[in-house]
Amino acid sequence: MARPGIPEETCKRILIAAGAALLLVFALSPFFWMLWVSLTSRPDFLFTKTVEYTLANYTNVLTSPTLHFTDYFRNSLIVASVTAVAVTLIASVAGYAVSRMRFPGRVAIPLFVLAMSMFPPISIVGYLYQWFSSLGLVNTHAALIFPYSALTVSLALWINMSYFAQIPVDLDRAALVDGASRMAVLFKIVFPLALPGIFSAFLLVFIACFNEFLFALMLTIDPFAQTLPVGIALFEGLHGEVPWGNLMAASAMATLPLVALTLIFQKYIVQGLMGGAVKG
Amino acid sequence: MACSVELKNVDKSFFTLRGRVDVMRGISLHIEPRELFVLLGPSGCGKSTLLNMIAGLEKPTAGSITIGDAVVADPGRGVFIDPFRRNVAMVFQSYALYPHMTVRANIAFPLTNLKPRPPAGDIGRKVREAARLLRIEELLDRKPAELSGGQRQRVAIGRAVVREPKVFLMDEPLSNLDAQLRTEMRAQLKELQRRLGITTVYVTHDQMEAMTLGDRIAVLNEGVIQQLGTPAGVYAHPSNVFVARFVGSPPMNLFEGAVKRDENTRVVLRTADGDILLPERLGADLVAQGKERCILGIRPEHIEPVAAGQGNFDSRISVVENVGSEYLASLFLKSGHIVVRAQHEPQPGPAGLRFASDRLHVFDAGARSSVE
Amino acid sequence: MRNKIAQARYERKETRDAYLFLLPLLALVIVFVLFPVLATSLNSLFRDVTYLARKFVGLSNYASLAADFDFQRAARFTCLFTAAAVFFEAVLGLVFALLLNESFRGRGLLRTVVLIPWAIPTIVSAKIWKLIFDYTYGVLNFIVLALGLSSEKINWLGSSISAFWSLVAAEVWKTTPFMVLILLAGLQAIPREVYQQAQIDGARMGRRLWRITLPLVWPVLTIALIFRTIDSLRIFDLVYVLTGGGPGGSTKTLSMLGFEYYSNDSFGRGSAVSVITFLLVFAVTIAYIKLGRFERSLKK
Repeated sequence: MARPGIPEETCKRILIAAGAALLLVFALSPFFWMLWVSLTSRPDFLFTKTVEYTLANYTNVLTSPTLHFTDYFRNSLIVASVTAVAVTLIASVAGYAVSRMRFPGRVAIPLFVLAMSMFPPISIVGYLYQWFSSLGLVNTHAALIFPYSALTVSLALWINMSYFAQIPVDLDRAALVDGASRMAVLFKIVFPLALPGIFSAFLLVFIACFNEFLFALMLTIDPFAQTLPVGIALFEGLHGEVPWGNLMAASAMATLPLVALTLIFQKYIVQGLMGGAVKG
Repeated sequence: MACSVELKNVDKSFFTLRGRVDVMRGISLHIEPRELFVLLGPSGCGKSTLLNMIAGLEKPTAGSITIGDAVVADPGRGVFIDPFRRNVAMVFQSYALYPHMTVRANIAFPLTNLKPRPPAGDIGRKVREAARLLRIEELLDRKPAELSGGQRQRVAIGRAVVREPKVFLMDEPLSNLDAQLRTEMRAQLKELQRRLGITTVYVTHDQMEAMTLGDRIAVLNEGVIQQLGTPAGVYAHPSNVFVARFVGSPPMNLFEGAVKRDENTRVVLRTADGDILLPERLGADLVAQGKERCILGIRPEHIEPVAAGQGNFDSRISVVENVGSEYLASLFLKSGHIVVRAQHEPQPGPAGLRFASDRLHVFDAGARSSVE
Repeated sequence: MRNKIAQARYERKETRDAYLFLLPLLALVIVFVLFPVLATSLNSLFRDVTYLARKFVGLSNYASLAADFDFQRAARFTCLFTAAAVFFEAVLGLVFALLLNESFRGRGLLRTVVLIPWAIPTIVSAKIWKLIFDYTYGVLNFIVLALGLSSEKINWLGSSISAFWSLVAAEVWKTTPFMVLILLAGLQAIPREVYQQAQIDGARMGRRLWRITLPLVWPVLTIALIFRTIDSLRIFDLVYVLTGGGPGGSTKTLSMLGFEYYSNDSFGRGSAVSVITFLLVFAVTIAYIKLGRFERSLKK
């Protein structure tokens, strides 16, 4: 699209600069807007042109007993950690079987699991609510851990499969001949080598559970079991006026661990998303 | 400690969506204790499958496999011993070193799997011994990624010898090395095998390796043993056209034609490239047997280039290559590419070829097997 | 006879081990996904209201939904929202992926930055966007006034059309990073030599994009579109927080409608909505696979 006379290289540089600027504004501005509001005393500072910076929003969210921020945070942490550990383990063992053993269904089972992950959560949650009510499971961590595991295990399986496929089968075979049982092969050879992949799966499952909303909204009732997304979603309404400063401070605190995880382990997350999507 | 390996009527089939695929049919072998036995064949002939079945990495569909006096696989009786209980060692073409472990841990790995696990002192001592044997002592704390191809090869062998297995299984262990190193390692491997006296099954597609290494070789093609014998025996008396072409480099020259009498009533083989005069006795035998068509085989070193009209066959040398110690003359005929190996430089152009009459091989044109 | 059994056992050992390894996974998926989905499907044929006796009603839940304005509107909204959101994500995702596939200073930083919207929980991003669109405090109204685009503040979430586009904007912001990552992987899989060859063959930038990059990245784009469409069709959280389905129920999605029925203890109808939602998801997926000639790229 460079016209005659304009060198293609120049044209490209301009496009890159423009794209980079657009990307920065696109990705960061809402994030900074959240941080900005969370650090000010009044959310109308743009219009009143007077800004007063304060940490009061943060201290209030952390200390207010009626906001239950720490309860929500703890619940999210428990549910996401337990699910991520369980799913990682289950999907690793299953991924090993699918990528290394010969049995009827080694192609069909991963596809079945993938198909299961396509069902919209709404088509599951209604029945689970009725079922868990009758079991007395509603408003417990378990009520979230089981369905979260079932919903994320497909992602973890496909990520693991793509990683296991990269480990030469000769290594397993060598270990078997070297006297290692199947379980020993799994834990001494395959898992250590697939650790980056297993870790990717762990991170993605953890993040997915930390963010999930519909199940948490429906299957938990009070701050003893509710997770952060539910807490933040139901934040307003106590005093009529939305306490934007507090809300943004809570949002920032809910977000920062995830953003930190994402930035630190960017490599694993990106590879995990590729493994789960492109190869899946 | 040395064990024999016995295969009886082993079959192997896979079931795919398209149906049953037979990869191995009726394999019977008896490998003696301390023997270095080579399975030779082109890629896809089933030799690795056979090795994997001895290792326990694949299961035979029928037949039985015995190591020493233990039956390790017999589907008919439902016997299958897992690979990790067979006490065999295997060296892979890819070496299959565990990338996350040091050389020391790699070599120690088979020992750490033993039950009961030997004391750490014993393991350390055995690892050092194996390392000394293979001259890799200074590499023990490195990771496989930091080693050269030859060093990795040594580590893989070290891992195999460390626990004094009943049988060594080697799956093209030298194919990933460059030519010079391969020759050196080949000799060392043979020396090591002699010294340790452990029964070894060695798989290769390289006939040179098979000839130099093997006490005996089995030539495999399409899942069937074509010939079994000593390297010299197989080379001198190939039992069929496949073996004749596969063993020996450059391969044996073949001419197919009809057995006829020429105008002088001498017996000739009438080929697309002209008549080949057969030695009197051979000609008489073929006529007596009533053979009409057959394949005549002769190795390049058993042909002598002579003046036209002086040999068994008149033709034309197209190219002469100097390969250092000798010359290879090529003839491009309708029958195919014919190679003559000569000590003195032949000249391109019309020439006669004289066949060493006691080195001719005759194969049945239909069955493609040797006619004796 | 005994031999037959022995042989069968011999063959089945590996199969049995494999199934043992897969058992926890399958149990989880069957008990907590397949079983609830089947139960929901069955339930959609019943009048299942908490305070009334359960009664088989055949397809009458579906019939009454089909005639229901709320349902029609939710179905239409869900489809339009998905189409708009996925379209803009694909365009923006492709632009950013092409950008990040070039080599320039700061590319590493941008590749990291682009992940931030993805890492922010949907509920949080919904709240952020709610504040951006807020009538009184929103930064969008501030910008509009400052630039003189309008003389007075706009109630972005107050009309069904602007609420629609607000939702699309928030969804595109949150999910474009996923698109970028996948397309970037696709772009990186294209061998450099192909571009060098095209350059030598005299293809200029635009032509290289149109004739080489896009066709080669197409299979990956199809996969990304399938994933995003499936996800978008079942959207709940963003809408629940950002507009609450308003104004006047105009931005209610199928998932929200189902949720409302469940919340009102009308499980039969909620189930029927759920079944329709997943049938829609399957239909769209199959359509993509057919249109994208996906079988061919799968075979590769």
